[in-house]
Amino acid sequence: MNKVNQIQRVAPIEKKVRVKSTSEAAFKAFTEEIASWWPLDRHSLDSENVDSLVFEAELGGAIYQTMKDGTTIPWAKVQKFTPPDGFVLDWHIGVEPENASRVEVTFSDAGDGMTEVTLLHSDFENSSPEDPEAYKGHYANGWVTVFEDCFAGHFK
Amino acid sequence: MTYGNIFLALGDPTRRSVLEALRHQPMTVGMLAKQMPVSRPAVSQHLKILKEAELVTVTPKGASNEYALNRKGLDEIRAWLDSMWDDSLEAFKAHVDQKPENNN
Repeated sequence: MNKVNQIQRVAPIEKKVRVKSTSEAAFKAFTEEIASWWPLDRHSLDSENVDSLVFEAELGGAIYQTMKDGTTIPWAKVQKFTPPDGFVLDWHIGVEPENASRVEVTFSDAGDGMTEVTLLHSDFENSSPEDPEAYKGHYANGWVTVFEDCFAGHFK
Repeated sequence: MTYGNIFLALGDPTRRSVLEALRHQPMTVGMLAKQMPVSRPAVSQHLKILKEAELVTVTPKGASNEYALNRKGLDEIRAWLDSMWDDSLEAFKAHVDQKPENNN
């Protein structure tokens, strides 16, 4: 059995997709236009009552889903915003913002009018570097609890 | 079972502490209540929610029930994230590719 203070780095999720677009347009589509393509019916919380998805396309902006009753559920916060090269999110859906994992999306010219989009979802262990002792505390990070086990199982 | 249940179940710090404690060994409600800063009935209520989200399993052990981590729920979260990005990027590609103004 792993000890809480022996967290090992877990493999990130990496995805690549090529689109027929300039990086500028692809970047804009991923951010400002997210509500027109994100599959909310399959990928949202409480999908029966979800209304839309908002990406505040600026540094410090939030990503949140809006509900039919007007309430919102936060998903992420924009940590780095450098159009059209990419952006970085603190991804904290379902956990406290301080326990966020990291989503980095980059857009690069693939030639022939194509843009390659690379998505890297990492830092599931969320090491809280400013407070490594927190690992040993009672309220150890939720992502550690969840992902150390499932990732360890998946990649062994 | 929906993934929303899993995330809502994990959204509470006490429930995450319960999972954290169960990573080390299966425990009864009484054992968990001694470690947690909440009452025994509260621990029971949290365990019920975790069980519904398939994050823990329950096994009768003598006069009480023993709770253990259920890998099923944990594996589902990882698989959920992986498929979420597959689905979403596919939808993103379809959205961008169908816009003629992007094809310069």
